[in-house]
Amino acid sequence: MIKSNLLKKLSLVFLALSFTGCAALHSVSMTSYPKDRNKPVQAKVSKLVFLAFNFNNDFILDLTPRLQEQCPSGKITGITSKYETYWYFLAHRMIVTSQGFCTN
Amino acid sequence: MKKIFLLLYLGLCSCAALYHVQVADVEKSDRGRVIDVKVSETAFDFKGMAQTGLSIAKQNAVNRGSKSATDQIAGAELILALTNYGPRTGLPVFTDRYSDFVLDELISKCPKGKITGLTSIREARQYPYISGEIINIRGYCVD
Repeated sequence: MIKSNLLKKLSLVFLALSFTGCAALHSVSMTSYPKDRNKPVQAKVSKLVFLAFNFNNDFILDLTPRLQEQCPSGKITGITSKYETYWYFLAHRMIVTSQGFCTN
Repeated sequence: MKKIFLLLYLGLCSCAALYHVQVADVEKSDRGRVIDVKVSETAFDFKGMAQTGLSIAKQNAVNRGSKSATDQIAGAELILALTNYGPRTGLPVFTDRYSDFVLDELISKCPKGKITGLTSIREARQYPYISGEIINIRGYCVD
């Protein structure tokens, strides 16, 4: 009896873990691509949200400064931005990724 | 127990939802000063209200043995569903003209400079039955 209960609980944990990591893509955007694509830059910001307890989206505002750090004196262009969500058990992670090119 | 529910209810208020993010090209050299623009419109969750009303009316109808109130609210819910179907981002608003003011606001904050490095965020602040549908723009003004 005890073994059966333990087995049930373990099965539930296994199921909960196996359903994690489902992805949802919300938006993709691109800007014009440059001819000079030798220096790619990439920045990613994310936020882990437990249940629905998300009170602001300020984490996104770090994205452009992070791109700028990788290209302090050039122009960043050809930016592809992607907003996606990964769903875990009782939580989800919001991820915004931007890839571009540093040109002179 | 009621106090715990009330605290939980208040705690869940003002949850933020993120719908869309876009990052534009960033100009070289001086990045200028940061400018922020936020425009928003209040939206009402009429479907949620109708569902709550329907569940209350159902409970009352069960208690009183009447079905007319339930039928009326179910009818209202059906009309709402038929007039609000289709894809959408966030809760529906009466007018989406609030988005037209973004450019004016940006220009007023940087009247003579070049506006660059724009990050556009479409988000919402969600309260029970009400939400603020928001467009948030951050950019750099190079004078």
